[in-house]
Amino acid sequence: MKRILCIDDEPAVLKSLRKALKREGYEVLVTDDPLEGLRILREEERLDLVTLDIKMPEKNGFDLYREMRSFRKLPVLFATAYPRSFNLESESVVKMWETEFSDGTTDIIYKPFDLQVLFDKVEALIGGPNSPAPDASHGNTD
Amino acid sequence: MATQTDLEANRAVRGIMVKHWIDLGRVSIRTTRGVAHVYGWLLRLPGAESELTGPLVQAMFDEILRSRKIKRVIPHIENWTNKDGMWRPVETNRKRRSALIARPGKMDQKDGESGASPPESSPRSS
Repeated sequence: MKRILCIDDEPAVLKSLRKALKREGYEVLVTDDPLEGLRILREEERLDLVTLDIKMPEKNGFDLYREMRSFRKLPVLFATAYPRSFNLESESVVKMWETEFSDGTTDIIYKPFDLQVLFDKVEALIGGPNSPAPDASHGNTD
Repeated sequence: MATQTDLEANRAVRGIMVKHWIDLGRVSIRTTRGVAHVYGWLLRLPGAESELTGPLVQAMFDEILRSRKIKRVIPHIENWTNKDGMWRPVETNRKRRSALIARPGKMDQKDGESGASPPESSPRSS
């Protein structure tokens, strides 16, 4: 069964994500603490996807993403209510977009979102809950 | 159910969209047996140096079609239409966008946060 880690500082969002994704058949881990999220990412071998908030008090989602990518390459779905977070006037966003997003293993969903959109994006990234594990190490296939 | 090849195709399409500075939060991609469906709104990220144009949209879809994993692309794009082989922007339908926001079953936004416009939320791909 595919296993998803959800990192978001809003407990209500985590509760909804867990309920919805579990109902779809995924195994779901949640944390509202980005530092705890990093610990899980380092220690839990069996993870297929991370959903990641951006604006969090302890650690910015972008910083967490870059740190995670330095030791582990997992598909990531950014879930944010701030579409302007991905503003190309920021050099760090441009660099991250060019270096980390280009392999196609990262996607974005904007809050508030329809749950069906969430399911579609998750399935497009990692497949259904019981499909074979994707090999993210291939990166861009062309 | 998506196969490994479908997932790789999705990755390839996403990667090409990233190269073209497309806001991934406005589109959904679903590939089945080499046929890629692209749903939603084609918009560049905020702060992009230039807006999308018809030829740029065409170039992006051409590039997607050149991907080994993709046999065919079926666009379901809200804000661009292809007439006589030319991509043209579509007038924004504010009523439809409002309906999207009001649809029940969405996750709540945090207090004080506001979505972007257009569209305010990620697209539905079915």
